[in-house]
Amino acid sequence: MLYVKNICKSFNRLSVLDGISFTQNKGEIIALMGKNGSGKSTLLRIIARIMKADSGTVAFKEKNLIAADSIHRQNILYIGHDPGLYSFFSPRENLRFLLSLRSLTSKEKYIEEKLDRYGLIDFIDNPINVFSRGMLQKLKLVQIDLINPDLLLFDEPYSSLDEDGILLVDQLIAEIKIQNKSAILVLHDNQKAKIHGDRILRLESGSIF
Amino acid sequence: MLLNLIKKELLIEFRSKQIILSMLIFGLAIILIFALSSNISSEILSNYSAGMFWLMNLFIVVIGVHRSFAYEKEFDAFSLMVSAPVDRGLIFLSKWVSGFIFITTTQLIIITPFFKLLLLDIPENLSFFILTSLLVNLAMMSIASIVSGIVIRSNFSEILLPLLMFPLLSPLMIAATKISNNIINSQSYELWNVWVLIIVSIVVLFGLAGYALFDFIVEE
Repeated sequence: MLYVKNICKSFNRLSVLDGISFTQNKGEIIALMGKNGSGKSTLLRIIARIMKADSGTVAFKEKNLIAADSIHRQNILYIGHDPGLYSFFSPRENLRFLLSLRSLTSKEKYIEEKLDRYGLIDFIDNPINVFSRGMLQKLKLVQIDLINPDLLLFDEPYSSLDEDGILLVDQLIAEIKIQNKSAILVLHDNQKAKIHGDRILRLESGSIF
Repeated sequence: MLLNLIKKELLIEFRSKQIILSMLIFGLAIILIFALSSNISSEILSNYSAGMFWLMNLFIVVIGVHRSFAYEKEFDAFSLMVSAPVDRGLIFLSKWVSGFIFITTTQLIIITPFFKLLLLDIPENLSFFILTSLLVNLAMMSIASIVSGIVIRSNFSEILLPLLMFPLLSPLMIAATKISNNIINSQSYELWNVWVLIIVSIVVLFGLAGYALFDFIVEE
């Protein structure tokens, strides 16, 4: 389903990714691990087409994402370190805008239900610039649950979360598995990687092991 | 989709009021400096007024555009838009249109204090002055939106934005000053229509370039 071939990326002549290649099957969850600065986030951003690779190709469902029309990103969701939302908007407004970007306005009716599930219903109309890191992290989970993409690219899903939040991430990943959807999760915890990942990819010195 | 993107820009500004407010305050401060520091006859001032008007606009556009893209950087919301299945050319168009609305709104508020505080006569052909100003605003925002798209990913965007934008906007500012000066001095259109054509060319050129290239410009 996802083909990543020979991806190279360097910053100021410092090579971060050096010919990364792997494939991911439908329904497979990959745990991407590696030290800080090993290029995990860079790789996710290249797959999501936020960042340009120096060379290489990324194909999803047999469409080259680098050359193809933007519509082929419809079933891919990238969630980075930051929530990717607007600070002056409330969760409701942010989620509405997110759905409108993906032509999924029919899902607007589920916004309240999903916010309730992640314990954010009381803040539905508050601007998110007053939210804590943990609340913003939970808002990322709401985005994923609402969009339900075929391929999820999630950078550090457990970051800033309390025990309840960690449990919610575990549940969400379990649901992704049940629905036979795919995900690439950047993880730092070996145990979590073994539990959730069908395969563990380790990034080191720009290569995958 | 374009309407959704423009609506988002306007709604953020409606909530924060940061773009128009900062442009207004800065613009008024410049007018006050001009008014209080100039000790020249009204005739000379009138000759320089068009240049002063567009110089003021040049500065306030930088502030407005920088603020508009700062929202996108705050929680990395720009990555959300860029990674979504959206034609990135439409993101450029939404920034262009919303920027045009913000600068025009600011000018509409600021134009009266500009003429009153500098003790200038309102141009006889005011509708012509407004129409040509709208055209200049369109051109200015097309350039500003492209440049902002280029520098948004940089850590030095605050420095790079004016450094890249001022040279690109200079020909436009010259043309705008010539046009406004001719209108203020009630010159015949035939004498200055070439400047209007230059601005129309800038609108078309940068508008098309922005739409076509924004896809590649905004990638890190």
